[in-house]
Amino acid sequence: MSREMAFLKVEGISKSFKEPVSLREKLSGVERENRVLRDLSFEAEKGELLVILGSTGCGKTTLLHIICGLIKQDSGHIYLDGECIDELPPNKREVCLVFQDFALFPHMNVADNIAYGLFTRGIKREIILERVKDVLKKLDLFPLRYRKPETLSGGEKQRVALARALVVQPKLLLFDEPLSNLDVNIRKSVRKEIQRIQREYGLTSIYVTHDQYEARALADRIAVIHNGRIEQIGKPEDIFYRPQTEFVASFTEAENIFEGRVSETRPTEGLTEVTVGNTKISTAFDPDLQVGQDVKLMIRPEDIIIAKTKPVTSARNVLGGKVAGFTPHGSMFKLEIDVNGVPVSSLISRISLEEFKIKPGSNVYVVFKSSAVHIIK
Amino acid sequence: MASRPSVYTMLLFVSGVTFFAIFFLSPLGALVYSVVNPFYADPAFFQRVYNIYLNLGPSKAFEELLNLVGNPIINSLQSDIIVSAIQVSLITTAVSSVVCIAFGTPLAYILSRYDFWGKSVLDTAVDLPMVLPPTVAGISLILFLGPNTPIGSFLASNGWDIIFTWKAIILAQIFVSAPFYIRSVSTAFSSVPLNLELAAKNLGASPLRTFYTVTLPLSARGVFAGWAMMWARAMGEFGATLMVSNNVPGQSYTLTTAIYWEFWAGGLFQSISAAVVLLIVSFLVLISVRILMGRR
Repeated sequence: MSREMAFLKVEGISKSFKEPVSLREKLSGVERENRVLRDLSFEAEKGELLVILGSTGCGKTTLLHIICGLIKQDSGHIYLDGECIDELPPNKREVCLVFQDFALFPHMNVADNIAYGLFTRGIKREIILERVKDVLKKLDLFPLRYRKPETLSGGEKQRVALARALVVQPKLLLFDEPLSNLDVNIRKSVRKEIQRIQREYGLTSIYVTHDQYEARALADRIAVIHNGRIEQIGKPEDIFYRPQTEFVASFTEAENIFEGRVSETRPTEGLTEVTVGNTKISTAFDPDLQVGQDVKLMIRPEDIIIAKTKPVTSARNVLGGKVAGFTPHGSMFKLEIDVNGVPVSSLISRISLEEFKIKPGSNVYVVFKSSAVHIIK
Repeated sequence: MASRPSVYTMLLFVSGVTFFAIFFLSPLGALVYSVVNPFYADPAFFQRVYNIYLNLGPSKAFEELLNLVGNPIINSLQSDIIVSAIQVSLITTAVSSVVCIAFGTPLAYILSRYDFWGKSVLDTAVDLPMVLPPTVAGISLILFLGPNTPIGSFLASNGWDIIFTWKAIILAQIFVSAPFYIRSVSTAFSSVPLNLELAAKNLGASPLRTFYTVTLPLSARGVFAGWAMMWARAMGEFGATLMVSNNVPGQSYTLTTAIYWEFWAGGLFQSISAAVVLLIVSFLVLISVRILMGRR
């Protein structure tokens, strides 16, 4: 092939599952299909950590199972390292999957679990011992090597599952929501561990999750998947601040999504004015937008500042509104503000909430830069 | 604080125990007691000793007395008929075990892991012999392989006489006992999480290797328990065996048919000894299955 090909290329993958039908329907030839993946394509570069982000049941696990050959796709091709692997059985693909429930073999101890993939490859015993020892040490599992999986904590199980995949030195490593079965308080440390190991080994990895924070913390690039298709693929900043579709925007909790109409363009000042309801909002100038055109705006809640009195600021948008309510949101509070009938939400710290004596009904100003306003085309 | 059981609970308990005592414990108790006290099973014994005393004198009567006190059950256990019945039972059940394991294991795996057209039909068909009277199995085997049927006469002309020889006993045992193995093993395979098999394949194991390094070790208890039940059922096979075997004493008697034929032939002690062997075997199988399935 003349053009240089990506390390992993997934091309037009489709998969549907037959849904159970009653006997009478079966006899009359009725078949119901659940189309899980529809013509899905993406590429990943060598050494990259690509996070696939999507809601539960959107076909993420199916996609991973197809890539490692445990399920056969209905159509489409997968190329790994320049080679089409469609016809290879799972045990011949150099692709390792870290299962959501870890899938450790309960009848083997930690060392035997890790050595399993090496024994199946017919590697010499001395080399196996050496490589298992190496990876045990690298992942701080050496003292646990004779323990059975049932005696391990969730984080330890996760490390064993990771070690078992790493030790065979696969070309591609797949993670199926590896943190979802762990306690919340250890997720962060395990996530960092995964990131460290992935960087250290330079392993091309695909990491599936439904958690946008996890995705943002880990990813080199993120692919958002919806309805069996890739909705958007790009760097985390692009996904979070420049979503191309409304789904991506709402999935990444960009809560302020408004429909408006372009009312004025001012190229000299670098601004485009959009009217949402009765409110004018300034955005960065975009030559593609014409006056009178209907557009969708998105402003992330964390990009909006709240002020009690009208501030002196370089920010283009200073709008007065009334507090409709607030709810705790992680360590912050989420404030709902009614701006001339447009519901705007913003994040505010507990200290500011008390300082401004904010109650439902208080008058506040919402302040945001024109560059914080993103237009979804 | 243990509350006193109510009258109704007591009634339930008493009725259950009574039922169990009348229908199970009493007959088996009689069997066991007849081993401890052989004269219980043979009340005419004293009459016989007295007759010997009258006809042959006191020394012969004393000899007869000694002979019977030296436990007739042990003696009959060593009789040719019972020794050969034990041999036939062990050999035939060993062969049927091998056949059931060799062919039943893949079938059980298919039933537990795959979905295919007609699976529910096959699933039901596997269970059929459990509820089918064994004599139906007997007549079916005779109609399939009997000397007057096309297949049977063809085999016989090539020196393969099956029906009405001891070989047919194996067929009868497989017919009635295979479902016990297949059902139990298929349940055991289903209890192994599919993800573990997928993980093994993902780590480079071939399907066969996945089976014997992951699936089989994790379902070993169930497989062994299934085999134990299958073997016990094969040992206990009677109705079909009676029909398809030629029933030659000391040659093609199994333990179960020996109980039957010896009883009618007047060899009560032989019957009792065969029955006791089977009782012990059944008890051991039950205990081992309980230990295997209970501990987890």
